[in-house]
Amino acid sequence: MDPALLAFLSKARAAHHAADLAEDAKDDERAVAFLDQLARGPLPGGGRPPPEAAEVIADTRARLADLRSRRGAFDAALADVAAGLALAVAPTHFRGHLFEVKGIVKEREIEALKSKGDGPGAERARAEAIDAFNEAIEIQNKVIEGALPGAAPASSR
Amino acid sequence: MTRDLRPSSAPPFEATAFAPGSEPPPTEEETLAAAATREALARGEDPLAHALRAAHAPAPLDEHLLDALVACALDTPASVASSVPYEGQYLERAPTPQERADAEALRDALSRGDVPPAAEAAFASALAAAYRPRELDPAVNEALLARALAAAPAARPRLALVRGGAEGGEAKGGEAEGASRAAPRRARITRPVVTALASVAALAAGIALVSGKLAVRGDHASLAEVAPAAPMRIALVHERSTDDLFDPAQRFAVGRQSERVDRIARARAADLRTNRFAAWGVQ
Repeated sequence: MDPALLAFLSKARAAHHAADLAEDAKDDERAVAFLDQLARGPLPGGGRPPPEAAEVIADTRARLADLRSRRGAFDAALADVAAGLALAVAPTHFRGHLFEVKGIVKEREIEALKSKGDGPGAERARAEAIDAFNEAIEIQNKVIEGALPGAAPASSR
Repeated sequence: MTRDLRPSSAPPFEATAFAPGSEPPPTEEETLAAAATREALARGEDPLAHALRAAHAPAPLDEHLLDALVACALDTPASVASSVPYEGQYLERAPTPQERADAEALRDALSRGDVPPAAEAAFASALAAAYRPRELDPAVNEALLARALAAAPAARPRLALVRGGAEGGEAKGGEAEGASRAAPRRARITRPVVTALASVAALAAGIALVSGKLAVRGDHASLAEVAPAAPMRIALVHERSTDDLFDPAQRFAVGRQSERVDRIARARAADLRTNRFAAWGVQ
């Protein structure tokens, strides 16, 4: 258990709690700044961070995607999702959550495109949202099956 | 004219030459001294007379003495060193600057307890150690002990490392237990050595933990020799996925990242404490 990892986790806690305070104050931009600093900052292990650090950053990216998509920055939000997926490659809660957030980002994009009168664009976003949610369901099924070997596998739509 | 030699009437002595025939007769002391001088001259032992004779009529120099004097004068390494033998004696010459430096270096080395490479210096060091032995450095003692024990045909039971929570599990003590029992039993080594080695193993594990270089491969790794009757296990928790901290049936709520990061940080801090206590031998 590397002390550098503990230091990183402490930093992550501080960044997320600071972002909480910023959100409570309705300052989403400041919250994004706190989390972005964490996501782009140094990681223990450099290019090969330990699983804990990778998963925390993946979760941070998911939160950034949520915050940015709420402000209409859909491309930046999807970039956060992609960056998080690059770290959370195993079928874990964290990977499933990223796909879930991707679906939410696409849902918000649908509304934005509809308001602009872009029907086809909205339809494409709807299809992508459904795909993302399906992926999230599949991954979470794997997580459940892995933790509970005796449970029957859930059927997907 | 006759001098009156009576003491009371004798005039003070003056360094004046006596007239021929008027010199007083020698005293007994003067007679004895003259005889001794005569004998010394006869034996050739009087240094002044010898020097005067050599100056007046120098004799040819002895060939061997000449060689010895030339060797001393030349002062070359091939001409032997500080002394040249001649008729049972040694003609000593003054030490050269290099010889003085070597002597000082040897003195310093002996005072430090170092063993100079030269055989003479090593011999001198051995004599000094025999006369006044120095206390053995504890690190040197440990190294010698370890070397001797390593060469001893003793049992080699394995030190089981319990892998903590890899891929979503807790410390698998059962695996370590089985691995330990699977190792073949061999001859025992003495209990005092066992105690010492167990202490060394605990210290080595602690150092390896701090340096971060302790690597677990497979189900076990050997760190030191311990008695089969008292195997030491160190349960170390390693870096792993945090997925097992969360209920698989509960989805990750959006916006609840702070709670998740809190849980992860607390869990890993506890793991670090566990590892430290394990390294200190506290289970």
